[in-house]
Amino acid sequence: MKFLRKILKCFSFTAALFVVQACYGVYSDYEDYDDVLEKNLTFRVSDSENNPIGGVIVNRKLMYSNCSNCWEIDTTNSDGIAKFTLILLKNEGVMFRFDGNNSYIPKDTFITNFENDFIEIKLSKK
Amino acid sequence: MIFFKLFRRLETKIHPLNYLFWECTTRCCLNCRHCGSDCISTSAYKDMPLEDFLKAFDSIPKREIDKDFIVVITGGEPLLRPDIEDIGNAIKSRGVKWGMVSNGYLYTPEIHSKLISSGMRFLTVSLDGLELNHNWMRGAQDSFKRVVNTIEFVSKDPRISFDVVTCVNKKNISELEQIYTFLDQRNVRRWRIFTISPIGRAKDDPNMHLSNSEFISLMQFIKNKREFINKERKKKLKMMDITYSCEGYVGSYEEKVRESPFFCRAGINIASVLIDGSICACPNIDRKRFSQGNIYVDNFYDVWRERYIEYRDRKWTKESECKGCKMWKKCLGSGLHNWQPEGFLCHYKKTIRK
Ligand code: SF4
Ligand code: SF4
Repeated sequence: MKFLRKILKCFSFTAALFVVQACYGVYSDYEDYDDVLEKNLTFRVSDSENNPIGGVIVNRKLMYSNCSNCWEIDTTNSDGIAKFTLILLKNEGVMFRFDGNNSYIPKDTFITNFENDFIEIKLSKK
Repeated sequence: MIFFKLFRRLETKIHPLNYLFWECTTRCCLNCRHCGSDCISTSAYKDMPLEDFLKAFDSIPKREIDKDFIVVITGGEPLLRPDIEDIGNAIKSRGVKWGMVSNGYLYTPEIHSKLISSGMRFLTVSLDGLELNHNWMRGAQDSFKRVVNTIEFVSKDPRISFDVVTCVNKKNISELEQIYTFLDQRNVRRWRIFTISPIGRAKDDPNMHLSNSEFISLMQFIKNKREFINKERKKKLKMMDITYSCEGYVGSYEEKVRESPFFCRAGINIASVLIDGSICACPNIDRKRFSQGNIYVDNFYDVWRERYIEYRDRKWTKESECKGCKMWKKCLGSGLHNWQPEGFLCHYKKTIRK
C-alpha cells in the first residue's frame, strides 16, 4: 500500500494532491524548500604563527533581512574556534567579518564553497 | 476524478500522519473578531510545557516520519512563548521541519533569523484587509503597519515557504482586488483565502459571515484571478498565487479555486496536540466532540493508529446533515471543522444560485 502511494507521488500530476493545507495551518508546499540547505561551519582563527586567537568577534552577514543590525555574532574561544549554523540556498554565498581585538587587522571573507565545514582564518597583526 | 478518488481512498486507508499541529499557547497579543479559539491575553490554560509535547511526539516511530512530515506551531500567538527558539531547536533536532502560524504583530527580522536557524521552514501570517479593516478585525490600531512590515521582509527570504491568509468577511470582500495587488507588489508568493466558520467569537458577529451571493462572488473572484494568473504565467510573468483554503466542497468551483479537489485531511494526515493535551486534528474542529484522547493519559501514536474512526470513515455524515445529498461521494460530508455545536455549514449549498 505504502509502495503504491510512493508510486502515485512520483507522478508529477499528482504533486498538488500531496500538499496538505488546513485552514488554520501553514501551507506545506515541499517544493519551496528543496533548495534550502543547512550547513554547520567551524572557523579556527589564528595568527601567522598558527597560534589561536581568542576573543575575535565573527560577524555573519544575514541575508534576506532588512534589519539595520543584520549580523549574527559569535566570538572565538581560547582555541580560536567559532561556530555557525547556516540555513542557505544552494549556490548561495555568505559574508563573514572577523573583527580581531585591537591587535589584528579585521578581515572580510565571502564563502561560497561549503564542502569543507572547517575553515582556517589567518589574521595579521596591526 | 477517478484517479483522485483512488488517491483519497488510499490515503485514508494508510492515513500517514504528516501534519501535526501543536497548540502551544492560547495566550494572544491581539483580540481578533474572527478568532476560532477565543484566545485572550491571559488564557485559562497555562502554556503547555515543551517536554510534554515532545513526549507525545516521541511516541511516533521514526520510520513513520518521512521528509514531508511537519509540525505546525499554532496558538494563540506562538511568539508569546519565550522558549519559541528552544521549541524549534527541539523539533529540528528530531530531523523534522516545522512551521508557524502567527499574527505577525510581534515578528521582527531578528526573531525571523533565529527561527530560521532553529528549523522553521513554513510561516503563515494573516492580513485581513487594507488598513482600516485589518485593524478593525484585529482590534489594534497599529496591527496593519506591523504585519505589513513582517510581510515585507519575510517575503524577501527564499529560504522559507511563506504565505498570507485572509479571512474574507462582509467588510473586506470589496477590497480583494486591492489586497491582491498590495501583496503581489510585496513579492508574496501565495495568498490563501478562507471564510469563517461558526466558531469562537466569530459565531455571533454578523459582519463575519458572507451571504450566499457574496460567497459566490468570492468564488468567482478567485476563479477569475486564477485563470488570469495562469494566462500571465504562460507569458513567463511572475504572479502571486491565490487559492481558497480547504474549508469545504464548493461544487462547480472545485479545482477552479484551488489546485486539487476538496479533501478534508483531518485524522487522515492531520493530527493535533491541543493546549489541554487533547489529541485531535485541526484546531478549529469541535474539540469536545472530536477529540480522540489526551497525551496526559494516552500514548499519542497509539491513539493515532487505533482511534480517529469517525475521521476515516465519514459515512455517519450521510445519516445526519448530508442525508440524501447527491454530492456526498465527492464531498464526503465537508470539512470536519464545519460540524459545530452551533450549527453545520455546507459550502456547496452556498454556491447554488437561487
Ligand atoms: S450536504 Fe453534506 S455532502 Fe452534501 S455538499 Fe453539503 S456538506 Fe457536502
Ligand atoms: S477539518 Fe477543515 S481545516 Fe481541517 S483539513 Fe478538514 S477542511 Fe481543512
